[in-house]
Amino acid sequence: MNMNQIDKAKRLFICFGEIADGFLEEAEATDIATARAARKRVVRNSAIGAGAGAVGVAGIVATCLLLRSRRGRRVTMSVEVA
Amino acid sequence: MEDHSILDLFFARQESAIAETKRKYGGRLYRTAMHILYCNEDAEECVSDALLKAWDAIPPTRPEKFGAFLAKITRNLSINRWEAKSAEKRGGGEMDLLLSELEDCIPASDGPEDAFEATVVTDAINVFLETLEQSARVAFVLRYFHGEPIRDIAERFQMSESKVKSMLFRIRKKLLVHLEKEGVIV
Repeated sequence: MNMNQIDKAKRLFICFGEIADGFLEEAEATDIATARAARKRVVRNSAIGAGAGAVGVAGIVATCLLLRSRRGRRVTMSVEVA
Repeated sequence: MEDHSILDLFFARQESAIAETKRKYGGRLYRTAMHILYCNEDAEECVSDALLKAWDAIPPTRPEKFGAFLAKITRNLSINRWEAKSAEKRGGGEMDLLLSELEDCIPASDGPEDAFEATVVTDAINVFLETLEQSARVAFVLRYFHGEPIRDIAERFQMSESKVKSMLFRIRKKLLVHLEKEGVIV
């Protein structure tokens, strides 16, 4: 890129500095919204992970309770992972 | 604190106006300055200078969009400082890359150099930005006003960097066509 092109690119870059305020506000609002959405995704994914873990543990406990031996009956205890 | 409350502090000449402004906008202003200057000390100084300029301007000015008002001051100060420094050396950051990208948008022209008028170019850019879809427009503003790196825009929009690059490339080409059609001289 020769010096003339550099100067023109610089001029254009400077002109971007005077774009309408509404566009800057829109970008700012989108910036905040996408950051908020990204935080929600992290929280949601963590909750899903924790929930899946809780369901798994609950499933194991429930299966064990179902297979608990009763008085006079011989049963084989088995544990199924939900 | 809401903008109108901060502006009321400016009008009352309460120095807490500066602190509140820095609390609300300091981070964003610093990032914009940093993208241009790539130097922590220079970026912090530009933000401080921008807050001082705001203090001097308000009142009588009461900007309708305070965030945009501050962003423009900061950007201009950062560019001035970058130009002063770039005469000595280039210090990294996004500026060299940004300028090389904007080469795509420079209309070929046989017109005289002194036919360049900044307001004409800016008006044409604003008209062009109106034609874009919101996500494209926001990405373009983040890149060419705030100087956001491609990777940050990609992360923000949950896109790949190559997709962002392609999108910006297509927009630059469209801007070139628009500027040529409008007979704009850069």
